[in-house]
Amino acid sequence: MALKIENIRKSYGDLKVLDGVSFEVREGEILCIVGESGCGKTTLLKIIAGIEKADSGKISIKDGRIGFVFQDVRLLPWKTVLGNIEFVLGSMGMDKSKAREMVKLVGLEGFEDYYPKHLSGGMQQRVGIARAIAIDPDLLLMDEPFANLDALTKERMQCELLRIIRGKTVIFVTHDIDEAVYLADRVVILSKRPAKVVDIIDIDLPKPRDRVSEKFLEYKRRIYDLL
Amino acid sequence: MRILSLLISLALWYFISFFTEIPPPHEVFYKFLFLIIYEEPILGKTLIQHAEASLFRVLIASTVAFALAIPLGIFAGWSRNIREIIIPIVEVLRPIPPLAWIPLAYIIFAKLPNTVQVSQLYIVFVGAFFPCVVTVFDSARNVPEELIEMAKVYRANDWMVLRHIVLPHSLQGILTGIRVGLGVGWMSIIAAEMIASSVEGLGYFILTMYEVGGRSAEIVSGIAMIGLIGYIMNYIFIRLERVLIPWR
Repeated sequence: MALKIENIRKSYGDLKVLDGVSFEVREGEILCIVGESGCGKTTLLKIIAGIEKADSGKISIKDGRIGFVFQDVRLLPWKTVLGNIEFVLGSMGMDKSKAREMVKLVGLEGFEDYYPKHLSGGMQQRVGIARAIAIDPDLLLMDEPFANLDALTKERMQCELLRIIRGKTVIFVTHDIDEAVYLADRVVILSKRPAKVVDIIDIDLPKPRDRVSEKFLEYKRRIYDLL
Repeated sequence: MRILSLLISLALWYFISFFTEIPPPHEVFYKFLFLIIYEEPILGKTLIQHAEASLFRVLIASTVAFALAIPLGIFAGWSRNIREIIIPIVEVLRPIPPLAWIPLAYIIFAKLPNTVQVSQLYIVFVGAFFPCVVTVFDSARNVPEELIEMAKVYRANDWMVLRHIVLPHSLQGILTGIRVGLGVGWMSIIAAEMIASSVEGLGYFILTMYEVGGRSAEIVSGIAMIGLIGYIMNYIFIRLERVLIPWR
């Protein structure tokens, strides 16, 4: 077990966002959290990342590095592809020479010296992923990283992501059921706000998965019914 | 289009000079060239020498102004505490025109052997300082929260956030602040030179030409030189912005 979340509650003023959320994340698994937009998924990730505080509840987490991939990417516009990766390596006190290798890993070789504005949305998010992987995270948090991409780019990125994050412990937040069933080892389903865990489903299919296979669609239907 | 704009200005100038004492463009142009090449007999200096004197004063005083205004603006944008101390002071002093400081400057610097010169520098300083500090502050304050949050997730310390996020984000504001500050400083020095005897400088030149009997061609030549230098300074900085901010 890499992470255990127990009974997390969070409100903003009168707005109750998280209403006693509990689950575990196992070492080396991809855990997808599925829920409607605005149900508090991002808040939950921020609490796990330590940039927001829960009102109550307990998070047990091994000491280690946390990588974060943001929905809105958040690259520094004044730094190149390489510079953005070197920035987090520097801030984490790590060796910057790894940055080039990371650019290659996400398939951006040749774009090292490009500024973000010269890259497509998909390429920018590749940098976002490279940045998070570069610090060799013990836990990788991904907040709807492909939500702003077109359908084709999104499917290609999902496929490549499995290669890039192989072996990592990942929490991947999404409102896209297809994406969750394609990527996840287990799926946590959150209710509407205030969010509670409705169910946790094991996706027992070998990867890479066939998105139109009988079983794949069955999982999708099951999650859809629970939401 | 630029040529058209020039032609319209010249036509307008001829039109106005026909009804007033203002000499027509060709006459001023001839005088302008003459003043650039030959020393004007009353003050014994060419127009270029006067321009150099004014420019020198502006560059010294505004360099000092920017050296203070830029860090102050950055820190005020960065830290809430510093902001609450500095900004009210700036907002009260900012609306005061630089020239309003002249009498007080004479009193403050009265004990110095070069009171006039130091007062002029002080007035340019005031002119250049405030637009710069306000522009830099505005851009430093508007650093996107999301980028700072990203840096916090990756455990960047305050120094790294300042160096890699606040500072580069504010570069546009810094360059604009310098450009606007130089512009106001340039206007201030001309005015300051008109008020006290300052031996040389474009403002002093114009005033002297008026006092010896309304030599309008000389006066307009001086004005043209002021405009030309102001335009060039502005142009250089707009160009510089493109070179220094390649990510925009």
